[in-house]
Amino acid sequence: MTRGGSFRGFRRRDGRAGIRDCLLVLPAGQCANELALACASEIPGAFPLLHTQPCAHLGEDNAAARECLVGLGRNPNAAAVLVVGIGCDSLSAGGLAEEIASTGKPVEWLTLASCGDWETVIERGRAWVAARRTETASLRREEIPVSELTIGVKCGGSDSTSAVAGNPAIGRAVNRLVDAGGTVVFSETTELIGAEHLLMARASTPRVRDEIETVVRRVENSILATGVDPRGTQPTPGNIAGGLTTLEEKSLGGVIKTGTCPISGVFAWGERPQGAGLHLMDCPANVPQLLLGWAAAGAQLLVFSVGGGLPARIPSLIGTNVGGFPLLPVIKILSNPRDRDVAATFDVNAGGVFEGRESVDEIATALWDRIMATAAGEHTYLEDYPAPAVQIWEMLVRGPTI
Amino acid sequence: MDEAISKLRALVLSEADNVAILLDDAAEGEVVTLLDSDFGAVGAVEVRGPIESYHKAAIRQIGEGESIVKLGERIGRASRPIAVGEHVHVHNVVSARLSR
Repeated sequence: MTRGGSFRGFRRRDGRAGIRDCLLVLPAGQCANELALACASEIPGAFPLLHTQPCAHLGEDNAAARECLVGLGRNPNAAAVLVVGIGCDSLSAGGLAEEIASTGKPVEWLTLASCGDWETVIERGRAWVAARRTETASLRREEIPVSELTIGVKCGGSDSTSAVAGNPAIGRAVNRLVDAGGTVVFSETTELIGAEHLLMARASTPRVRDEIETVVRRVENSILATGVDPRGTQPTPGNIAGGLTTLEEKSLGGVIKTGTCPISGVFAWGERPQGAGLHLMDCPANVPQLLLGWAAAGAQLLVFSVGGGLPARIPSLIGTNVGGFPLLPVIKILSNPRDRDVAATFDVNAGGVFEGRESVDEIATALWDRIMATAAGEHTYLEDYPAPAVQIWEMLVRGPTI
Repeated sequence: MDEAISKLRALVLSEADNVAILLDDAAEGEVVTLLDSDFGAVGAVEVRGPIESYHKAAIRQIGEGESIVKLGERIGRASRPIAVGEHVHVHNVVSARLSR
């Protein structure tokens, strides 16, 4: 046993560890979404990751999208990757596939241009994915040290219970994973406004301290520059109904889920954290963009803290219209005991903290056990949620759309 | 906790706080027992006006412009004077960061 224990996962050829065997079908751009859907349709384990990358972005956004798509393909939860394109996409399918292939995992690319016609892309793509399905069925899990886990932490539908129950429990699990040599990524830069001083005080170097200040100030200035009063959006009407009054209050409650450990780095959406420890990914608090960012950063799972009220009563993944995100299993934790009737749609229920029945430590232990079980293959609630809809995942755009 | 005082409870998350989080719905004039984060009783407050559970009540007199303190940190400032026991929310608090 190594420090902090181990779990049974899939060792990939590049040395990284996966917790799922996802057959990723990745469009190079949004024109290829239909091809990706058709190539993956009804093949067990195949995930068509549809997204919004257009031909209408400029250099910086295209570069970030490229990094994101390559990062998604390299995510160790993807056992094999098929990149599909048209042939005139702003990012080339072949180029993306080549960069993903450096991991040593099976990678193929097909375009309308290379195949000659639409049906041939689908026919070849389906044959390739089905063949990988047969291969991955024989992959076996092996012992992986906990230090090789990278998890994301997020809160949504926050109310005043989040800061007292779910978030402190997540914070303790974060401390424990970081102590064990693992990696944790938090984000939602907007929701750090008013709490950044606490994070800056935890920066491992003066440079990291400055970077935290820079990204928070940038988002704050961008809001102020619009001249629009953000109240009603931050905090959201749901947050306000749940007792949260200001963005600072929401932020101060939110950062509790980052624990008390030092902050080792700050990185941009689409990139990967440098080294282990706790890192900040600079991204707005928008679920589709965040999920892409976490998966591209190499996270194997996400812990999602939900307060209560109406957001807690959405059985699906809040902020999307689908159940889960097959590349990144999501553990949902509930804080508000008034919503105990929907606790079955959560993986961990922290509501007992308010009723004096359970301590934060007990919930933190239950969450840790759930993280380990999920890493070893046990499905989360969302992984089995029968979502009727298909999500087209939103890429982060900072520059103009032309 | 003294049952004779009240069965209604409110959490004071940090000693520096001037607000408490109600654990139960409280009606005008009802007394809530203040608990620290270990659920030990530390005082009581009479509520002014109905306050929904998980919302905040002032546990000290707060002057206009003064900081609202929760979790030991400033979460905003009072947009008008707030009396002990009053509901503390968007009608009497503004963000100290994003409001112009």
